[in-house]
Amino acid sequence: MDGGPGRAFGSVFIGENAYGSRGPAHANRKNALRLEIEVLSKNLKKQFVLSLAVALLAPLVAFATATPAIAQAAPEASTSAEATTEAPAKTAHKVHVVIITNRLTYQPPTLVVHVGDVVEWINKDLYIHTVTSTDGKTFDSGNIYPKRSWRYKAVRKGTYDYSCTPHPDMKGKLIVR
Amino acid sequence: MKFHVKQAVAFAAAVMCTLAFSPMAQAQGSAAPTDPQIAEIVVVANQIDIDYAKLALKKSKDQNVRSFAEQMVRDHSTLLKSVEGLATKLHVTPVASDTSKSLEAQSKETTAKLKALKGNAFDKAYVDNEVAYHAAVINEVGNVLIPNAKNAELKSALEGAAPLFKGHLAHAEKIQASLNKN
Repeated sequence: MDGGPGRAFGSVFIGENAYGSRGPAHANRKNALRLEIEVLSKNLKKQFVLSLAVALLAPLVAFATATPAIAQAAPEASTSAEATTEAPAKTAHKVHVVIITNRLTYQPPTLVVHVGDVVEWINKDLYIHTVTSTDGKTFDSGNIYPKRSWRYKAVRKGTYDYSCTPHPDMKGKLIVR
Repeated sequence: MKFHVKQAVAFAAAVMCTLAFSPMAQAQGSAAPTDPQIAEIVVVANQIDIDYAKLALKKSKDQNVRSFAEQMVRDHSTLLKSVEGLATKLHVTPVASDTSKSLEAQSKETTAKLKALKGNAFDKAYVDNEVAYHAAVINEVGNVLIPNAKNAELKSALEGAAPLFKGHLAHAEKIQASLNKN
């Protein structure tokens, strides 16, 4: 993926350079010749350009009109695939939600997840809160502003108590299995 | 240096004593406050804590104290706004009472004492006052304002604010403990 655009630009650059290295005299002769060819083949060229345009545009138009159908069909296909193939798979990672309530609590206060799962804390209070592990190292959301959320991917097994830095009596527990 | 510590301890003790016999404590013995009086008490109590915090932001260099003070300005301003919004919505015009007037007089005194202090002595006195003040507010809200609020929405708003004050108390106590270690 990363090499794609770079390589494309590279080939354009090399092409220009090869033409330039042949010198100005050669370029003049070539220009005169090109003029003749252009006059002779003007009509032919017009036709060519037209046919080229048609050739290029036709699939594009076809693709563009077909695209919405593909885009609409795709999510349905992927969700049905998830339901049938991903559910029994051991590697399925869930997203769990913990609400920070306007009564200054984490709901649910204790959450059990598996390694690889993602936990999202959503601040539904008027005040800024944090989700800060009490061991002082595993995780710290920093300020979660009202109506904002913070996500954490559980990476290591363990039981982690956490609290809110500005309101330390707000306590929660994350158990990673 | 010793003088400063002694001064701070004496000041903290004085603050505790005055708050123990504060207007809030007295209010329990006086006539039950009306909804407009409750609204004014909440507005005044919020404004007082914002003003203490603004003073702390001018005087303190301690990072924990400063971030606590910033939080007090932010949280109490939000609460003040929501109380004023609710009062407007409920057509309740806040009315001064003995309690609100005494709160204001008390805060003038405390502010004057805080202004006279510097450095660690100020930090400790400010945080000690925040601990005592929030404890007094929690007591007042739980024992006087909530039981006497007539309007259901006002009562529910006060119940909703109670955990915030408890959160502030817990934070202030945490800083108090760290300052006492130094």
